[in-house]
Amino acid sequence: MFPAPDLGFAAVGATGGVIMNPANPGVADGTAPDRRPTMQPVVIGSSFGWLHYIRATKSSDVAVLICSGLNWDMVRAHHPLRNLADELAIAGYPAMRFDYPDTGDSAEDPERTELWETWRKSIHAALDHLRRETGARRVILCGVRIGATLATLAAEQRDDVAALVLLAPVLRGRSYVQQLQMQARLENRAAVLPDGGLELHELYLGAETLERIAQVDLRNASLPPDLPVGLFMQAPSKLGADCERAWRQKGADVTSTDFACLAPMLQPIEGLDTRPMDFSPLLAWMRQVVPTPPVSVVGAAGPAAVLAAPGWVETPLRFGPDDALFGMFCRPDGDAGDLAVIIGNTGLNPHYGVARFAVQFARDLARSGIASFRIDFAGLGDSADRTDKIPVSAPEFNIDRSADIGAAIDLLSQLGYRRFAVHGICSGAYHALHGAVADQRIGVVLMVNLPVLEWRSDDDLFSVTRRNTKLSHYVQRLVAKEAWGRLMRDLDIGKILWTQAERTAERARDAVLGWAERRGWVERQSVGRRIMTALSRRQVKTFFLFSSGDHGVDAIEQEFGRGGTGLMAFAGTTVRIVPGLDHMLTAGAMRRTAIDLMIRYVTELNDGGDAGSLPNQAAAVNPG
Amino acid sequence: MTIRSTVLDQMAVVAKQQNKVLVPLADGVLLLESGLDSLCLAILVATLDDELGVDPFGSGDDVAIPVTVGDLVHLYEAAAVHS
Repeated sequence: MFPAPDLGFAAVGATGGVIMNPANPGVADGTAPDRRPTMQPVVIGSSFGWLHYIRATKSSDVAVLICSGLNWDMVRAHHPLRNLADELAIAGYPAMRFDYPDTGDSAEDPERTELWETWRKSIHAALDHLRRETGARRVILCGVRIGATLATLAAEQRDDVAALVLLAPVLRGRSYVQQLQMQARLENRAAVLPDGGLELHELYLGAETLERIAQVDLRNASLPPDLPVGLFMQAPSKLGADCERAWRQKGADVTSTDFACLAPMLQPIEGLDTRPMDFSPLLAWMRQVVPTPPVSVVGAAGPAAVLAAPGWVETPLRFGPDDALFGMFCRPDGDAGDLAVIIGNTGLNPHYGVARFAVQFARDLARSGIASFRIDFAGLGDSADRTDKIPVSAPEFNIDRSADIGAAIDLLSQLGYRRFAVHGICSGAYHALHGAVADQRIGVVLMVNLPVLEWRSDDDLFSVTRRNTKLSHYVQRLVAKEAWGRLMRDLDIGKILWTQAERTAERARDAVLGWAERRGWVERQSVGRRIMTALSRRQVKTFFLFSSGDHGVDAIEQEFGRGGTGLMAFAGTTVRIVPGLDHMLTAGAMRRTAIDLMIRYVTELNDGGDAGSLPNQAAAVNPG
Repeated sequence: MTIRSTVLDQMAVVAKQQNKVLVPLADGVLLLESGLDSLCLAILVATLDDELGVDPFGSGDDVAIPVTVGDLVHLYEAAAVHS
């Protein structure tokens, strides 16, 4: 056991408040320090956030507070809002974005009695912090979806708001509550919990919170006279027009502007064009209504950003080439072992994960005495955009993330950690597995719903799904009468049959080769077997956790037989197939199950001391 | 605009906003086979309340979730009559 690592905060004050890789001090964003935006982590009460500024303009007459949405609205807009904050900083507006208590990387507000009020208060606290940090006399509030609602309510109560930017705002709380209830009902089969509250992904909204949200109607907002309001709507609506009219009647200077260029920030991330978005219409409007001359004063260093609660302490860290990558280092609040778990992105979602899985996992690991580092791969979350020429439409699987994982291990090694596990869900599991092959320092791989062992360069999501889906799945769908319509409409029967024929041939070949392999006549060459052979020889422990019925089970069974029993040939492998989990672990009970299973597994390894101490657990296979 | 045309228009709007491909809509098309996922359908319900001023689902689980596009249209038509 060794004490908490020294993260080198002595360097913080000397570098403008930016948390550095302590072993690689320098400007966080690399070259041209005077012109590139700096991202300074901030902690305001229980909220974690980022202040973006150009070093010459940290002090400014006006600064921008970005208020994010919740749930999918938050996850999808995370990286675009990071880039928007950078562009605002370059334009001369220091910009801060932050996570409300109980969301993103933030902690629970220990004094909270009710979430909606807590979130409203957190915006005022963030605004006050922003003004103190930047010296700004005035602020621009910029909100997305329900964040725009919260921003409007804050603007009603303050006299320092220079402008209000509303991006696809929720104008009426009642319909937003309906949306949450319907989504909960469709996903969880229950809209309302017995106590009148609602659970949806990471959100637990009590009855009082739902009631408070439902009471909000922005048509009745009392905005300060002459306040410039930029209303960026996704589509014209009667409600939007009503708001515009009502605010104008009260003296606000409302501009309704096309949101089209901003639409991708609210669309599903997977398969999305990941080129930087065009924020120029928003910036042009802002420059017009609140021009700000840059002030050539270098701001003072901010305090170190550390977030803590009983059991865990979190520190934002930059790492990798030019410190362009970001991760949240989470450690126990007491002594820890020398094992650290690296948690990668799920798909293109930010480091805190879908339904905040990564945050929950990291903090529970810390409470179990294990450190973790939840990271953003290049171009995702709070990491900088990639500089290479990856096709923007390339699936996440096509990008090699092993260098990012290796860079995270470099940093953790410098902090004193000696044993490393890597974890991921879906594509994150794929990168964890391949990262472990590439980096011999990794001793444990924790994978949830690994969809494929191999991603070929010409693969796409549809071809892989066809290749890995059992014929029985299609037969089940044919039997379901109501599925006929879609099956006939959407599915390419010819391609399915051809793929299934190929799959059958592959299985026959695998059976023959397996028989020959067991007799030592041949050595198998499939990618999956090469991976498992390599990891097994290195005594790497691999933990495969699947939801029963997940497509990943099909992929494993195709390669290793029913229930993945063929994996038993590889020492150090554990396979668990658990009924009732969903693919992304969006439901609270499912996250709990997965986290408990993985922590128990890692804790046993950790207690065992060395990676070779755990017996082969492949017998724990539970065929779905 | 009729209730039907509003419902169908808003389905198209939500699909576009969420980058989904909508199948040709007819009364018999299953909602979950229409191209909209659960989030889209939830957004649709919220949008229809804003546009039509009716909430056929209330706040509980009592009202059955419509299965087809036709069911959805009829649900809002009935709710509009009773509102």
